[in-house]
Amino acid sequence: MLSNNQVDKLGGELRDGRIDEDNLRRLELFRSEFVEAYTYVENILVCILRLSVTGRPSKSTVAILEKLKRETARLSQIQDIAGCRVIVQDMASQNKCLASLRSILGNVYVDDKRNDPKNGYRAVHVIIKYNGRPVEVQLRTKPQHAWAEISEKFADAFGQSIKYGEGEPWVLEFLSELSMNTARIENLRLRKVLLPEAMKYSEKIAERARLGRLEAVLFKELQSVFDRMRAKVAV
Amino acid sequence: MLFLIHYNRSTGLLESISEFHDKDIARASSRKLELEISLLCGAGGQEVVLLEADSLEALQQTHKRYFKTLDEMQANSGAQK
Repeated sequence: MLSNNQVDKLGGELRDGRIDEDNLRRLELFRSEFVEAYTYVENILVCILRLSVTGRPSKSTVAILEKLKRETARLSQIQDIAGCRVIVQDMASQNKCLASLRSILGNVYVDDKRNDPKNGYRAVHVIIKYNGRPVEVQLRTKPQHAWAEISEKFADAFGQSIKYGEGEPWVLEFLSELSMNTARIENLRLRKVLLPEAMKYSEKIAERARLGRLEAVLFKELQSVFDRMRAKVAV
Repeated sequence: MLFLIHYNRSTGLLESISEFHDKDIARASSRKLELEISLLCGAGGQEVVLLEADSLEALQQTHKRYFKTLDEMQANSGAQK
């Protein structure tokens, strides 16, 4: 097992571009220390919460290098060396999932990016620690996930800085509009689910119909966001 | 199942994918390290990652980026409502 000092020395060397066989072997040794925590978290998600999970026992080298260069964080401080991804239908399911995790694990660190998106990225991240090792659980709805996948792919094509709000202006504008539009649709859908108990049945029907009409308008706007993007790509 | 993915960010294409049993994480990690070392002298933009999913189909849903081109994702994007 590497000490924190050794891990941070390794991180410093990687940040400085010393990517050789020795350092890759040491990095793999460090990453292997997260497998136990990853397995613990994955078991909770799959066996207790019965969720469908895709896991990443350890972050890729290229992603670690980018993080080390982009941020001032030391290697020992990176919270998402190991992670799991859970994709649920909508925000109501996402809230339920988060509540279940809190009820099972108690005090977990939650980073809710839904109302305060990071460069357009919306999701709920939960950091669970086991034996001192953090594991990041990404809870995403289907629309949040679709946005994230498109953003990643654009980052491959136009540079990773796109994910951090820098680069080709029209790509940034498209991702920003898409994120805002998706958020509005998701919030409308949540309002439909969370109509006040005290509301009369007829009022609920009318309110759902009203929200449905608003949703249809937002879908049209969403389509035009995609059309504008396709026109740009075609140029 | 564990999936060892080698993806080329520059081309946006999947270079290779290998499957391992869940319990073979040590072997899969070792294979991942060998692959990373073999790529040291090559061009940049190579991403090697080990992922776990119930099936390849499940992985293709949660990590489309490795399996679809930007054009294919755009073509599908209108249906993601």
